[in-house]
Amino acid sequence: VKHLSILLGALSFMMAAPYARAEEFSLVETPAPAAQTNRLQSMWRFELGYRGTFVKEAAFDPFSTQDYFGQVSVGFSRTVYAKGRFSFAPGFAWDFGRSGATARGDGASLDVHRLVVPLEGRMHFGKWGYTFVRAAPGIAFEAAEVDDAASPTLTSGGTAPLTKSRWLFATDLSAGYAYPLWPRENPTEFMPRVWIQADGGYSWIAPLGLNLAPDLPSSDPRMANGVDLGALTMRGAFFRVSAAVSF
Amino acid sequence: MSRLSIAPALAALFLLCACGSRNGYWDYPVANATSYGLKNGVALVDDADHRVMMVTALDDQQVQTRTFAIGHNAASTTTSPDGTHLFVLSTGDWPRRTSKDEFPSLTVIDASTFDFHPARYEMTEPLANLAVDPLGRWAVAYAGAAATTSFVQNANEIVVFDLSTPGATPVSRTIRSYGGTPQELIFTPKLQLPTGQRRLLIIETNIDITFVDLDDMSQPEVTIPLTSGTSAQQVTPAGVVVDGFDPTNPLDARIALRANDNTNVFTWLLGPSSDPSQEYTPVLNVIPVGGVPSDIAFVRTGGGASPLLRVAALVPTKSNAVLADPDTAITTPVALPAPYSNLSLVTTMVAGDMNMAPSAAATDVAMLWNGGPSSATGVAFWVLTVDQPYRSIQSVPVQQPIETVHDVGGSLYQDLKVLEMQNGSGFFVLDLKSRTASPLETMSRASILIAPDGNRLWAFAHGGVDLAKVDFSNLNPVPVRTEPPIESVYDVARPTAGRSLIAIHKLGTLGATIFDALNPDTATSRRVTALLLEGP
Repeated sequence: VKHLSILLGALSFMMAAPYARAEEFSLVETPAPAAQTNRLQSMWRFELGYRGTFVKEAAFDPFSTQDYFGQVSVGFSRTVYAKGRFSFAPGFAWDFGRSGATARGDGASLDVHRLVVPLEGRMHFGKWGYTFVRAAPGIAFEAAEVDDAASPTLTSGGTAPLTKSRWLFATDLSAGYAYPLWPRENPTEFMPRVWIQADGGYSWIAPLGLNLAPDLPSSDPRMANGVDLGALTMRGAFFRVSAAVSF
Repeated sequence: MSRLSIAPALAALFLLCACGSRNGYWDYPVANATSYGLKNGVALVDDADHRVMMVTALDDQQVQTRTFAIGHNAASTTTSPDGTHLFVLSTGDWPRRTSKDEFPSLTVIDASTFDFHPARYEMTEPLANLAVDPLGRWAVAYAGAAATTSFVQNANEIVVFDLSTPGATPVSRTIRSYGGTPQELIFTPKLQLPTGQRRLLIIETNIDITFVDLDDMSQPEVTIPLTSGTSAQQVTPAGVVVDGFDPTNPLDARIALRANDNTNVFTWLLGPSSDPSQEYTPVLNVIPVGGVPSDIAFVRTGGGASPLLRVAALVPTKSNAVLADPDTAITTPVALPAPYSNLSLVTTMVAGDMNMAPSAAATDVAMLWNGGPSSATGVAFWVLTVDQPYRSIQSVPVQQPIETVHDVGGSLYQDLKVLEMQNGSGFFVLDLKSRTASPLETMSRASILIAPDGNRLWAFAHGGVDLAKVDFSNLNPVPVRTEPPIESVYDVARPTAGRSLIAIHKLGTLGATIFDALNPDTATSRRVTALLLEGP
């Protein structure tokens, strides 16, 4: 619900803003669109969506009661090559998600940030939109935390959480379809266009060893061991539904 | 593609993929997890996850953990007296509804080495109680006083496990009953019966007593009713003692019993039987001792050319003891300075003490104390001479009533006893040879742990954070502290020599603080958290 609220809020913002942003984007040092440029094919696109990944890893169990991990997905892309019905658009995207559960009575949470460079090849069908395949290499930041009452206490109160975080290599491979909602006519006209799109594929993040340790200040002389929950590889099939605005 | 067709397709995909859920292990609480100290580690019994986690101490206060599967629904867990084996009796998935449901079972983990070898023995019917042979050969499951575990249960059924053959099928046996059901089981040492050396299982029911030949389960058991046929008064066994083994005397095996509601001591001589189907015949002798005895023991008394076998019975209501001849039932009362209720033989521990040594070297020495709610204080040593019984009592003043007497193992300090006070104000270290009692005071009620190597004791406040080591060499307390409250402590061996103290904290998913047991220091202790959180 939280992710959906973020999605709807951002979507309304994006739909209200295109005219205000048009001038801004004209300052970008890109070739001025030719009068005959098909703006359903060569465009800037900003996307905001929801992404769900089905993670069947045993090491994910402490952090979720289901084998499912939801994320908010934000990104943009720019068409850099177009010929005939085909185009190519690289971009940048950020996915963020958090999952939490109780693990044998202990609170456990997992944060995942994914920063990727989507490389998207598209095949266009005029006003019916386009289909695409996307490879998205990048990096991910995973942070796992478990709150156990037997952990050392902190001077600030409470007990030190058991934590582990790390930057890891990540990549996605997906295919999908983008459909222009409005306006679908006058493709050469420079104006904001609203899209919906969906894609599905497979994602993978390098394994994270979940040897969680009490998060104590470096000056704390106490010796404390944490717990080893195995190695977590956030991988699995995923889907993403997004709304996009193009210019 | 129609825009209307995309949404249902995605919804269907979501439902299809999101229906998976995690292993139920993560939803199991750890609140009922229990800990048991073993020679080489601490066993954490995690019944919710059907496993035992063995925690082994390493150098630098590190720990290593290993898990072993146990049967479903643990009903009884215990350790062998020497701490080398853990026994977990499980009722299984009862009643079984599918072929995958588990039968009742006994899991035995051999912790005599750091390799920890498990063995599983399956049963056909769930039983809730387990008795373990102190010599390590047998274990017996029985129903006992626990709640009935199945619709129809044979309360007189016992299941005998031969621990010398791991995984062997146990032997089920129904003992003859005159209306009683097994309450306590006692394993005898080897007894010299007319037909040879045998080990017996003595089963106390609530109204009778049964002897089972452990070495030959095909032999019929012997059940003896204690309640007289001419009286409605019920005699309920309260304790059994067994005389030792003399390989030269085929009439050596004797058993004595006291009851908690009877002023007699019952003795049996396991003599020859005229019935060829029976190995022996118990010959009963009923010995009145003048009051309900609170403790009994077979003792060797001096005063003659050779020591005499007697049954010593403490009768606190009379403030005396009675020495009874098990053959003739002749009794000799011995007045005591206080109504002592407990007796333990300390003969070997005071050997060499010239003050205590009586005329005959084989004469027993007993330590007397009062472990009940009585206000009687102090301990006494009783040299078991028959000819001068009134001069044989030497008391040691202890200012507070005694709750428990702890034996000290090992080889160096066997002549020490630790006396735990009833009011929790402290404890005494009693030197049996010098007959001195050194008081050690505590700020709050302390629990006592005697290190298995017998070189030190640990005192800790259950639910508190204070802990102290007391070396028996100098009785110098070394205080240390833990941050979380202490549930229990265990002094365990390390694989690389040395010993560690593991203090268990029942918080979260269980934690522990590890100390070097030989040189404890809070600054070098290590906290281990979330012990039972590791994945299934």
